[in-house]
Amino acid sequence: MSTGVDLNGPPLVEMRGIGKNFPGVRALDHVDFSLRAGEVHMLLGENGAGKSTLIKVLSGAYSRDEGEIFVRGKRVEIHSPADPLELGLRFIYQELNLVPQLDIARNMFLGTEPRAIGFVRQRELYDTAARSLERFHMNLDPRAVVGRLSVTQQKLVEIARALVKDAQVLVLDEPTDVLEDRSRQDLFSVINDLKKSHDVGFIYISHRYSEVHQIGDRVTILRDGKNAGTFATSEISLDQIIEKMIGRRIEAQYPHLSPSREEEALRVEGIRREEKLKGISLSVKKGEIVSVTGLMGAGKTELGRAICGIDPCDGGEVYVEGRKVRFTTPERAIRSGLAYLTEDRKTLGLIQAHSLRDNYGLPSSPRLSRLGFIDHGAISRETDGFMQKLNIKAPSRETRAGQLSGGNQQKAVVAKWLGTRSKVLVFDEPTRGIDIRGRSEVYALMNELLSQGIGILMLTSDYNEALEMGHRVIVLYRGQIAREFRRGEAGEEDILRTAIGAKIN
Amino acid sequence: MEVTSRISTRSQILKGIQPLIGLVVIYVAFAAASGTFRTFDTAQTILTQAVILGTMAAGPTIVLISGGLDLSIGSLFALVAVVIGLMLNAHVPVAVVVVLSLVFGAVCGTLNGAITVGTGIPAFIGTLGMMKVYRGIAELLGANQDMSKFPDSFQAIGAGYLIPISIMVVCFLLVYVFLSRTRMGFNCYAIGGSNEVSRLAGVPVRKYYLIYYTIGGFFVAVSALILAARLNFTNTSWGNGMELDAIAAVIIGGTSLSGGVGGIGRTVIGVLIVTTLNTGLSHLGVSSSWQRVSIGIVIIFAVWLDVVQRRRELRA
Repeated sequence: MSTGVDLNGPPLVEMRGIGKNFPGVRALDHVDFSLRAGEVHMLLGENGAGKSTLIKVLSGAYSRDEGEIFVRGKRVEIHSPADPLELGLRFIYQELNLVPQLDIARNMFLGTEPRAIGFVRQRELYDTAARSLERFHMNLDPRAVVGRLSVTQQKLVEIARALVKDAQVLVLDEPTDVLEDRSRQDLFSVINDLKKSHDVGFIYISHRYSEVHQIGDRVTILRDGKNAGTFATSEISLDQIIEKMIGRRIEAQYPHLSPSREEEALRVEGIRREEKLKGISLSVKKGEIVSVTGLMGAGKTELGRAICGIDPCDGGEVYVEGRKVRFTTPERAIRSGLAYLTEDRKTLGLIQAHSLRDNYGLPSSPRLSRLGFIDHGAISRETDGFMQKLNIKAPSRETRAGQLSGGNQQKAVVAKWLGTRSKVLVFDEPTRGIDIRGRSEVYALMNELLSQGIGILMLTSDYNEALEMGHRVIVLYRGQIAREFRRGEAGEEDILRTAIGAKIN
Repeated sequence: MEVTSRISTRSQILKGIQPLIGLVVIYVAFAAASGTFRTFDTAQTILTQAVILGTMAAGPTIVLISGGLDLSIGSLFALVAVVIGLMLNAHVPVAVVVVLSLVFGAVCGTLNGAITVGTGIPAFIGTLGMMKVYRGIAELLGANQDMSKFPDSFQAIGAGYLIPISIMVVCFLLVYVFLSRTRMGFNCYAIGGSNEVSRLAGVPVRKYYLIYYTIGGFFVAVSALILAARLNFTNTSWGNGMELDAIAAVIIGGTSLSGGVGGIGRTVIGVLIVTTLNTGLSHLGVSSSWQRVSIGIVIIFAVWLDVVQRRRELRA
């Protein structure tokens, strides 16, 4: 058994010249990446830099357009999610992938239980599980029901499950995102033991840059779908990593933001919800965009949903145009002029199987009906009007929402909410999953709304977008406002540092 | 059919028409096979047969479009019938009986809705429970009671062809207007399409569910009134399995069990397919057991068509 990174022999995994195109976007551009036995290789990059695309190419979820993949020196074809499993690659995603009702042993051997004439050999199952857990330095009872374990313990079970199936490569996608500091250390020590004793290689995706030096042996930084460099972690500082990550990106066209007015559109005072929102106060003027950014889990979406009455709050007040609104339901929030444009357009923004027209009419149906009878003519006319005004590209208003491109779907969502005569739009990740041209159109549209006096609260994890499209930028850190920047006062680096909780000078 | 075709791509319109083609094919086939089937009389029989199932199926049409399900309507049918019988036995005026039984049906419908909406119990389980509860209560109330020989003015509701068929047509029209013209009807499709999108759009989803179930209960009462009047007695065993017959008719017509798609026009066709099939097979002397087998096959076939088409749409 080796005791360190194996530098001789072929790498466990090697990806050469990987390219992947999506309509309008070059998601990966000749990316090289390799993983050696016994190392933890960190994969870093901003949102949209190509981390998850690269991993999806490796997992078979996406097919690559260019490049080659080698496993232990042999060229392999990965076309379906089953292929990498046969090659000893395992993927552990953010969401837990266990059956919570079953115990640890059952989960570890799910589908590969030791069997005799169709019956599960119970004792063998539990004995093997116990031995494996011990071998992996995991202090867990194989009979413990998974649903009752802590999140860290569940992560460990997932790793154990991968290892008993002879995995040599483990891909961990932001594994510590949901973990407390102390449990992160537990996970790290298991990973450290495993890489030494079992010659396992880890690909570790994270946006907690502080973890790089705690756990990583090498780090690869992706930027705009390109490999911006691979380094031994001992040879690169956090500052250098951040610099590499940001670089200069090809960006969508940002419009010249219209100036805001003086009157207040939205004011939020001390909004609180459990541990997720710890008393947040902010205000948005008419014709102003206030960007709210931060890491995943910092509370952006929670803030938007709380303001718009979707999730119940523990405290705090919301004012629209100076009038206090007390809402417990989205219905009342909408009536007082608030609209929440969800980040998840596919399942929460539009009913994909229904027509544009029916989607448009949904939130406006109270306004567009009299004595309970709905005015279909008006819905059709207004839908046509918005399709023209917002330049929504669709054959007709009867086209199903699911058939539109991401950018056009976002415009349809905007149309839907403009129909309610909203005064404040809360945009959650307005351009996620939208190609560059679509993004430019969405930005132009947002700018257009400003001139109509609408106030916009934009929740985004894209720092560049937050800076370019906001009159002000608020950075959240663990459910609190870490700092507010005026336009032009900060660069992406300042935002990033604030978001990860680092001090800035 | 306007309601259904509104959510339209070409394939959607086609899907709306398929059950109609099926109905025509079935009718023509029976007409060719049996000389006695081709008469005006038979057509009238089919329509009369359709009345009970048709008025009953009006409710589940709305409930299924909204993404809900009510399995208790068959038992509720029996309970309403027993209540009607008891009231008539007690010489309550006919007009009052009609109004009270409709109100009773509607209130029971609301209760079904409240159980699922209020507790979060899945509709399947909640209404399965109520199915047992209503049946039990009907049996308790109706035990050893002779509920028959009703006044003539009551019997008139179910007598002959004209009145029952007219009542059914009015029921269909009401549901048509509800689904295609009212806000609650418009939102019914959205709720069935996605409960959460609708909630975020400010639709009072829970309140609307209650109303949809209430309407379902109302039509159960209409149906029970007609049958009690026609047969001139009521019985606690009525309506056994009828909830499934009604749901089957709705689905054969092309309304989706998963919600968001459908319309009363489709239900009319579904009801006619079921009754034409039953009447035609009786004409040919086929036993009622074989009739059931054939209805079962039609249900599977109709839903299979729907599944195939949806898969094709997803790929498109």
